[in-house]
Amino acid sequence: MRNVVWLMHMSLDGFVAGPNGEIDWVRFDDDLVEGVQALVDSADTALFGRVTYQLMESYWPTVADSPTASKHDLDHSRWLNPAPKIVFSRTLKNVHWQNTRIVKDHIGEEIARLRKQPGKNLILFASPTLGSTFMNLNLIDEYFFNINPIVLGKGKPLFRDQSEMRRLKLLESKTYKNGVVSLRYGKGS
Amino acid sequence: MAREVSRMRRIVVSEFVSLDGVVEDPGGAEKFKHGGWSFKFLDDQVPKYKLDELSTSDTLLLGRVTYEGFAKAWPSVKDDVGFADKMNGMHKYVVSTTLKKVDWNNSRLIKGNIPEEVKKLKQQPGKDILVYGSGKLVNTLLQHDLVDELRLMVHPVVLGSGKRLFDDNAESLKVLKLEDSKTFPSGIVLLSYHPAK
Repeated sequence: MRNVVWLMHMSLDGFVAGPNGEIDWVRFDDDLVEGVQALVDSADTALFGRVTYQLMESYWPTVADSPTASKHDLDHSRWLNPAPKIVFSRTLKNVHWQNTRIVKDHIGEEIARLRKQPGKNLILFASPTLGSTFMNLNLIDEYFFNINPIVLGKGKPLFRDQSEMRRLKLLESKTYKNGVVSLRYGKGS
Repeated sequence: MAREVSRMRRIVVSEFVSLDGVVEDPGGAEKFKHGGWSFKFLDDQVPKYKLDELSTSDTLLLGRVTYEGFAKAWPSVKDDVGFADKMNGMHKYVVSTTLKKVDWNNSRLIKGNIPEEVKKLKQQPGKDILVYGSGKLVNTLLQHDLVDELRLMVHPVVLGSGKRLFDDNAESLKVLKLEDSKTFPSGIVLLSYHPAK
């Protein structure tokens, strides 16, 4: 069965963006790209909350046309642009990215339906608010957190509305030269 | 030997923390609803690690809340590896503006002017100064660049509520340098950071 995996970059103090949405502190180099690649390759469908979707939609469809595009830009856009994409939002009216659809409600049912279809994993990119909702609905099978060596002090927090205590199971931990530690967790007992 | 003598004592902050950053009451002495949560993740390597850590130190620096929990619990604890004896015997400095007296063996109060007092402590001869818990104090130390090492033992659990280690409205961001990481059989990951130069 297809799993739902959640990929998130975070600061040591649990923020996913600065107070004005800054993500320039996120460390992402070739080594880390390689580490994340296996996770992305295990999936064939991308999931987003609205805010992350809109950021991505403004970047990925055209990045490959830019003369300054990196190897990662080119590789990831080849995966992401044609992939089926689902954005979960009650307010978003239109999307302008190929192969994207909006799901307004009944998140649990939608994920259950997708799981039953043949295919690879479903990957949730960032989307902290939706990720929290997914957690509360017990929809996440695997967590992939990249912990950056910085205390931001303020910003957009991850994990703020968890209704109950949730044990996870550490599957893997990996340290990168740039100081990022990748922690991969599955559902706990 | 000369190097040992000239080396200034370090402030080492060592925390049990959940994946969502909660540090409240891992030991269960403070009446938090998830109090004692760290005991769910015991393995045979964590106590050994904590004992080794304690042996590099001769002084605890604590905030009031953590101190009060410790002062209530530790005097009656006995164990066969000497952890409690060491805790009870070592120097304790307690940062508080409200406490009038401190009764736990070998404790002293720091009533104000925290950065200056801590700098003075660091200049005295001795082993590392350990900070356990004490979230508010840790944020003050971090903001004044007084933390020489930050060790987080990240437990594989999202608690969902409770006091967090880091202040959600700190004055400035702090870039750190990852120094070490280690995985324990229970799924706890130790992350050790130094200040970035």
